[in-house]
Amino acid sequence: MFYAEPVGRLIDELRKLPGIGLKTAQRLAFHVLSMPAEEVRKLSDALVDAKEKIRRCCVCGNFTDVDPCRLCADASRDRSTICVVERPEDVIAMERTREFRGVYHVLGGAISPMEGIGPGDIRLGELLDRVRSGDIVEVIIATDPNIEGEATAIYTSKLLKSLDVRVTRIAHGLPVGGDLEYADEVTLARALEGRHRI
Amino acid sequence: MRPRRPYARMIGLALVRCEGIVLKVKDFGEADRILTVLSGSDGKFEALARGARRPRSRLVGVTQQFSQARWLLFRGRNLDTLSSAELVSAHSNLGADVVKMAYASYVAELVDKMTGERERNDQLYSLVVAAFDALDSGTPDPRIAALAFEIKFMAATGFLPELGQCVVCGAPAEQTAWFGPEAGGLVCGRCRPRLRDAAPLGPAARETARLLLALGFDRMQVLKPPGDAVGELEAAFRTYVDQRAERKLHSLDFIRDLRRMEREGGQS
Repeated sequence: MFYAEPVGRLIDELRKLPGIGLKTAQRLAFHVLSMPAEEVRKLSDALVDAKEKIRRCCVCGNFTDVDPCRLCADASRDRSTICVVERPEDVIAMERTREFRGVYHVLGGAISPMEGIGPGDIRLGELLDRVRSGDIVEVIIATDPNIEGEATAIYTSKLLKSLDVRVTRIAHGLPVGGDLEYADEVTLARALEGRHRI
Repeated sequence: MRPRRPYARMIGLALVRCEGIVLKVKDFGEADRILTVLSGSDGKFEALARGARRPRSRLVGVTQQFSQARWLLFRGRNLDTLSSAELVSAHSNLGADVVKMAYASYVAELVDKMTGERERNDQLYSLVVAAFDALDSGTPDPRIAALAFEIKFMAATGFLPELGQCVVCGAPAEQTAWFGPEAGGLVCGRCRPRLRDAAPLGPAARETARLLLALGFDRMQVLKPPGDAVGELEAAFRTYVDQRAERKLHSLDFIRDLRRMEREGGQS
């Protein structure tokens, strides 16, 4: 009732986005009103374009505008190694390392009993199909190092046990450049567990 | 020179210390977490852990689900803010086994959905810690530990169904062979036709329930419940819990799915 109807509608729509409350939505809405019309059109076109053109890659499940995605279609990548991640954002994080030259499999979440997400709700069946049908040598499980991510990793490794493939888990430990005395107990204990010969 | 006042008091925030266990973790904002914590002294409460998802944060490890810690918090009106924490037990084995994790999630969800906020209950806190310790160690079997917790939890919160006599006519327990979730207890053969939802509960299941209520988790490995007493008890109690919780318990569906997948996997 305080806003003109179109502004109220814009605020309501912005509030549906994660992490945006009433105040932020109001600030963004008034900012949009002060922008040049051309900029606003570009923003709205970008939103619609992204929604219409982006879909899931039929091989790895990552977001893509071409199917299969550029990473799966890249002939220079090592197709015998699959890195399993929870979300598309994790693919970007792994790519930033410039260390991994294999391909990916995006699960689309992690097993979470309290959220009602079971093994059948994430793309584990598709992973099994990929491993069965291709010449896969290694599956690297890079789910988050929390309770849900660990349980998903263990469950996935059990599923893959019967197949002739090497299953590995990314290491846990101290962040590079950090001070040992400031590390928390859980991380330090994991780092100690995962120590290796030098 | 005037003594310096603590910063928290200067800005009007109370600093609270308590020991508690993390029941639930929700991601919030860019790198924060909201924890649902159960403590003995302060009951169940929510706390914001700023930056706890960043790998370099000191709170990253201690703010995992099922972590037991001594917390230092700034008390807010609705939401506390976590200042620091000292780990007591990470219960890290729960993440290494999907079955253990499923039952631990059931324990956490049951407590979260059936307890009010800021209600002091030291007995409940000790019970929850004992249940997580038992599930973490794997003794007794997670299925037995979760069932025992369910019965003890009902007793601790005043929801324990009538297990001493027929809840309708008062006939002695020996004459009962049924359990009425809606009626809230054992039901004899004579009263059973009057109840729609009565499920079978034989003498072995009744005796198992009595022992699970009486024994501590550390003494339960000696229990060898005969036949399908555990199955009967689970069926009876889970319907009873579902009705009392008045909200869907997601982890129960997860446990059912897991069992179904195990059965199907075993058959193939």
